[in-house]
Amino acid sequence: MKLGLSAASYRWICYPWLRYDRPEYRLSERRIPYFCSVQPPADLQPPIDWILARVEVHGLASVYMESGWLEDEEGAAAFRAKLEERGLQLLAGTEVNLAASAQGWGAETYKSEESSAWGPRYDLGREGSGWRGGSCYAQVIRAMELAAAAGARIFNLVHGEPGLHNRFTKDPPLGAQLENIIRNMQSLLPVAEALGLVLTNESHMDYRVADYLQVLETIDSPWLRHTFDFANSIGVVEDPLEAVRAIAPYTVATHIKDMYVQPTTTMGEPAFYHAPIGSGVVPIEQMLDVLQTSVPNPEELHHYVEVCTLPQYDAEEWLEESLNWLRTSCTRFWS
Amino acid sequence: MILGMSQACYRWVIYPNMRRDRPDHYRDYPPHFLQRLMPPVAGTDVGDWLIQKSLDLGLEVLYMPPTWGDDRQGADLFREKMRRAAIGFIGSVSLNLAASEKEWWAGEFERSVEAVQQVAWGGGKLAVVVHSQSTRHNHFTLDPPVGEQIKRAVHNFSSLIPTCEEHGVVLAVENHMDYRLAELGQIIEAVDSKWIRINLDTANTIAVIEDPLEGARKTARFAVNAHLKDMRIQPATESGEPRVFWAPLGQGDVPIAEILALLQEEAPNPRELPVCLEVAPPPDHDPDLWMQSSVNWLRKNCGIYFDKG
Repeated sequence: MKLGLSAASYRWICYPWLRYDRPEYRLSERRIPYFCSVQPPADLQPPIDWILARVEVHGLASVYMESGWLEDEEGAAAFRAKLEERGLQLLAGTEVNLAASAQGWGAETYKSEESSAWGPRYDLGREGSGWRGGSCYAQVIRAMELAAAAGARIFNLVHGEPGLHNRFTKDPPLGAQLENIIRNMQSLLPVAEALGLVLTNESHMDYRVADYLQVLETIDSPWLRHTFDFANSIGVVEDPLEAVRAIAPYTVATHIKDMYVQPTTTMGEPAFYHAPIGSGVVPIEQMLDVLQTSVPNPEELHHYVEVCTLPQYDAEEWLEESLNWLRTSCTRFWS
Repeated sequence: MILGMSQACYRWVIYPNMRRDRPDHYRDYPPHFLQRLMPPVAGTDVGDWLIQKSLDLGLEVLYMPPTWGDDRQGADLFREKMRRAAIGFIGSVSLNLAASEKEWWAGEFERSVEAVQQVAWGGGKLAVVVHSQSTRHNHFTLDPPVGEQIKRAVHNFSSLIPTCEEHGVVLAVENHMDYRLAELGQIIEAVDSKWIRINLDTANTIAVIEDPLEGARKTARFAVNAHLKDMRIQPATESGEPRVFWAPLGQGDVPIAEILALLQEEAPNPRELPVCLEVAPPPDHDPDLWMQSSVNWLRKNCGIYFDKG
């Protein structure tokens, strides 16, 4: 198994719409990180070179980032060259409303020319990020094309409307949401196969791993697998260890993170905190063991470190501590 | 089922260390404007106050600790007031269920025996057991691991069986945001006594990453009491840290109706099963408003389970 970096580890430093040095950040009432070991990128362009530099500094083997950041085929080709020069792998991904209705998804009305350069565009604006123009389906296709052009072999599709639809929302009920997800993901598989991309879903604090397992089993295609997140199942009240046991046979990548749970509080509402890996309650080592023995190809399994340090803390310090812990406490897993 | 109330619904109004009219309350919490409910004035008997609340809400069972302590006469007085109000009493016993043998026999056992006795003095036949060391020992703590904690609990509860028999008090161990119901089920099965059963809280499982309905499925057959609580789960947030919030019954994400159906099906004595609302909104919210809304929702949506409808 190998260690990689998820760009989300630096989300408050490098995402143009989140970074702490924006004037708008202060309106959020969040605290300022006074002691930050790394500085934000110099401009508000897609931070792909900045992220690559962090990957190299930490001696990692791969990077996970938004496919839309590549902008166009030229950008994707240039990035591919940089990855190849450094011997790095790419896990690309994007976010879209996976539970969209058939009409909202738009596969049936898709025209192939939508996927070209005048179709959906990824907007990296200060007000927020995301695809603009085209249907959900067209946006994903475009994201997949860019990922393939950058040399990715796995493409992670994240549910982009977790506030609107998740396993706790009732309109429509969970069963109907999963039916939508199945139909929508199924529509992407011919394109995935043509591009040579294995598509993955991820439990992203929206649905349980068990829910996504249902999607995988129903679709039953080698072109649809799973990116397992070590802690996200906590957000949907699902035991992480049970989750990984169930999904490991489908897992081709992971996002590795930890979380601390404080069950009792004065307010009576449990509290959940990001934590440097090894400092939380997620049984990381046991879960790595499960993956080592149950994924189809453990040698090629990349764990993208996704330590979502809050902006008031030093993301670099948290990442370093997490990597140190992984490299010293879980040495036997890394090739 | 018999509908009742937990005193915790009014924790921010009546608990001496939490009531929102303490001078230093605003150091930690926002001001509470436009509240209709005022904390009881000094000298008010909290038992009287809670009995009146129960009557106002049409509830038939009250869960509260034996506030009379060693005062046997105080216990008799309370018992008589409850009899006149026709309200059943469920007491509470706070103990370190994961105490080591050394800790248990160095005082924890004795204190637990006294607590059971005090519940009996107040007329209680049922006492909810709350783990008193939940920050030191819980599902997530590793010293000792949870398996060892369960073994300790089995030992400790087994030692209390003669006391329960003597006083006629059944202990209902609550999942109190410390252990999973599945873990309490293991304890109950290992102790294997009609005196040690479960108080099933419908929402506390969330705090220990256990599905509320799954937890209930594993333990409804042991339930002799239930706490009805709802919570809203917000899985995705800007910070990436999930949030869980109090909610009036019926407005959160806990499948209350399904859990009540399960209890009706599997609890040993569903007709006599006390189910106590435990709706404890934050201190800047009006607990009366939340309670009335919750009682109304229950009667409208789950009335078939309650004799009073």
